Amino acid sequence: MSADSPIVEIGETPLVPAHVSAAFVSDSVSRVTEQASPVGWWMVFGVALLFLGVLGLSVGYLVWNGIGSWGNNSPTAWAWDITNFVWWIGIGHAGTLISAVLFLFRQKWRTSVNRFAEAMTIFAVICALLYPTIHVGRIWALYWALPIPNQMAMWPNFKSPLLWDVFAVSTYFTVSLLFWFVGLIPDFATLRDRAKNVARKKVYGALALGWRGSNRHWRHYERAYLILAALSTPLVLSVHSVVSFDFATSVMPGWHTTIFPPYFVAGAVFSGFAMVMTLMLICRQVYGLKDIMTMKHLELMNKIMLVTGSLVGYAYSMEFFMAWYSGNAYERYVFINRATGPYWWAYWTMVTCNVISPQLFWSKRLRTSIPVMFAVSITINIGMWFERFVIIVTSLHRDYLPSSWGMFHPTLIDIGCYTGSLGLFFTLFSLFIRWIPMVAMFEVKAALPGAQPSHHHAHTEHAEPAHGALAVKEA
Amino acid sequence: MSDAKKTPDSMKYRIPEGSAWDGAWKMALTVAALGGLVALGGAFMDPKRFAFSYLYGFVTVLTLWLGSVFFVLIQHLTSAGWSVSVRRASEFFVSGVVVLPFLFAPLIPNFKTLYPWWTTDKTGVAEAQEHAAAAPKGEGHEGAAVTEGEGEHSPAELIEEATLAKKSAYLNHTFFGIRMCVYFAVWLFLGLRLFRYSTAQDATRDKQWTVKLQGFAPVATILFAFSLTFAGFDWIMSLEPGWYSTMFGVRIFATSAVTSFACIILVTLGWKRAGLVHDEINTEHLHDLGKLMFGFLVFWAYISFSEFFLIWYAAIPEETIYFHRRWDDQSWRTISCMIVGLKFIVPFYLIMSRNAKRNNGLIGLGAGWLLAMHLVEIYYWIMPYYKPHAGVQWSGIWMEAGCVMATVGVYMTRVLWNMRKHSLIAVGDPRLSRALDFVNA
Repeated sequence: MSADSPIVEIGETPLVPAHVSAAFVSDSVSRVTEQASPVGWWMVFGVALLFLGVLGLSVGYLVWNGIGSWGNNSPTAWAWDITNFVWWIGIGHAGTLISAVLFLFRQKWRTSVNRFAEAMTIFAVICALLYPTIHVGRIWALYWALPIPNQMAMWPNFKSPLLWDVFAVSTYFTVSLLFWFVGLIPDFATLRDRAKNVARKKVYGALALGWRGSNRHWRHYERAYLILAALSTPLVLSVHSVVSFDFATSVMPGWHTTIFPPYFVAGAVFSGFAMVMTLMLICRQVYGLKDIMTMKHLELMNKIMLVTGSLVGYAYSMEFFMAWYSGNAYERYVFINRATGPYWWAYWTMVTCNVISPQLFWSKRLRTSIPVMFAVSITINIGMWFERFVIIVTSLHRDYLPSSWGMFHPTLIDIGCYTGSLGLFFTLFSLFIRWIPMVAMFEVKAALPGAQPSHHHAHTEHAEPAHGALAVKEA
Repeated sequence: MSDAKKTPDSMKYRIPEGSAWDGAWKMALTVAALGGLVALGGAFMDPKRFAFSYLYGFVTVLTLWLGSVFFVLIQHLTSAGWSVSVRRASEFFVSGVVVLPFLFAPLIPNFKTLYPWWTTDKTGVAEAQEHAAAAPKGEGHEGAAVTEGEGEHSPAELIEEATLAKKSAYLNHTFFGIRMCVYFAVWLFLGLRLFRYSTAQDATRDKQWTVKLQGFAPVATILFAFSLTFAGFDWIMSLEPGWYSTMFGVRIFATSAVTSFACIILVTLGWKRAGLVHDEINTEHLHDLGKLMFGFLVFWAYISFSEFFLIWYAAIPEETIYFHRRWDDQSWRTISCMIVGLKFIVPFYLIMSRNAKRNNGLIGLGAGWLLAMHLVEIYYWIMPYYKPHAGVQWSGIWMEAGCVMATVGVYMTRVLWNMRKHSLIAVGDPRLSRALDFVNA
């Protein structure tokens, strides 16, 4: 018996069905980029392009007319813009978590999911970066945020967490992009080798950077990948911690609380997994990848959502308890106001979507049901948007002076900038699906039962055929 | 390879009679007795110091126990294979739970010395509420740090009382007592069950125990998280009842995790040295334990820094008081710097490299170092409240030493006693062969 074979009595199941072989993986993943796109793809791409247009118009209007086109006002100087920024940044975190952290933990199941999640990270960070960029109002002066020597002798404020954000997010984006591209090289080579026409051969050939799969190539590749994983892991934590500092360093009740950094990281991973799940469920259906992204993968991801959702629930309860325990009148009021004030519906939407809905995953039947997990993943995405809305708007709208209290009302441009960013995201994502292998083929192959070093060994000692792809082929 | 060959016999990993490990519990008991005598002497000489010293000893043990529970739970939660051969080491620490209530008992008569709110509760409530109405809000808090400790009825004290009155629904005698009973009930339930289920599997090899433990782990984790957090608030955070931090539970958790990894590494190295576990616990397992210890050390640094940094940056007096207590006086400042330099920077570089984690001597040094720094960190948590404005009281430090010896000694007696009774490796676990085959890729 190979140590890696699943022990059925304690509830273990194989990751992928026995008939999944190396050739099967190459075929079913590469095919997506080689054949004409199904109608579903054109529909998604079309709608996404439409919303990308909405984004262009909204942002154009905003830049021309100024930030007053948004509903932001004096008590709520931050509103949907920063809510969207934090939401997208959070969604981006799952990619790095799956790629880097699960890689360091040697979780083989990540192989079917990581490429997908990394791509999502890049696109989500692009969407996120949009908001601070346009929020500065005069976007032609954006470079003032960078410490570039200039004739005005003007420097950014290094004490400001907003500036750290510029560094943290841009570093994160750069490293994520590198990590994604490095991981793609062997797969680009596969596409190059399969290419039937010269154009494909040239383009994928250039992207593959001359990959020949030699021993030396693999050795360098694995070293590079490990180093990038080790670099990305602290980045996952640092980026959202710095985002949380934007709030928590202030003396604003509802913003200033010490648990914010890990709480934001947990929330980010939570929302990112939900987004990966939504996209994955659609893609495995449309492209028939159910044998590669199996129910087991989905179930494991649901478990992570249950864990991170509960961590977020823990943080909510700590915040609420401490607001009361602090005895500080302002802290207490902010939390009572969140739950019972004019934005009570936002608060309870957040709690229902983020804390209660993932609890459905305690049941094995529910966490292996496609409709349930699809609904919950969307619910979590909604809930995590509301979390940021609650943190930002409900804390700001009633500050220390009741005379300055107000409400936030989104304008059409607010709505356009938000829905438009979804258009940008799905446009990029559709193009990714169309042209880049959405599953890390070589990594999935390496995790197949036949690829284990113990496999051959186990096979020779047993009279009966071993499990896995090899056995099927022989039969 | 046949199953029989790969899953070893349950008698193979027992401590032989008359060996050093067989008699180790006697040594622990001796340490406990010596420490107990010292502590007892201290209790007569300086009852106030004894209260804090003993709490220090108890928290040292409690965090070690909590960390061990976490390690065992996370293995079941993730259905881990690699760790099966080292899990029992942690389970022995978990099995020490039975002594925790007894170790806690001497603290009960000392609550009034330890917790400032204990004396204001009930008697002072009505009066304090009047003060609350009279005291200026918001602005007044700023005065708190400045006028701290001036005269008997300083504004700072009035505000302190008013704040305590607002917390009396949580910080009162009855509820505190009820919570204390709940924590111990939960911990006994978790600790005994985790140990019993796992050891029951040794003889029967019944895979159902694994299924049961996997089913139990998620609920257990939730119970664990909340009991740890609120016990931390009750017994440690309320030493300074005006202070609060949402990160506090996470900090206790992180410290506990680092400590327990250090203990598991030291114990397994000890077993290996005595030839008790052959090669079933090998460099690969120590490497992974080292990675986890390193990872949680960094996590601990991350959350501790975040907590400090946010409090420092916002500079709200009722929050900064925590760090003022540990910084304003030169002696405490030294200890604060030790925590940064010696608990984080030195071990960070010491155990970062792969080679260090795969070298028994170096990883043992790292684990021992972190364990020693654990003693310093808990000191930093508890002892500033013994004489708040007077710096570290070096001259009486023997009392803390005595209390730690007593509490750790009693706990380790139980842990070492249990080691004699059970296999040192979870031989009945169906995933054991994976742990034996495990190689770090």
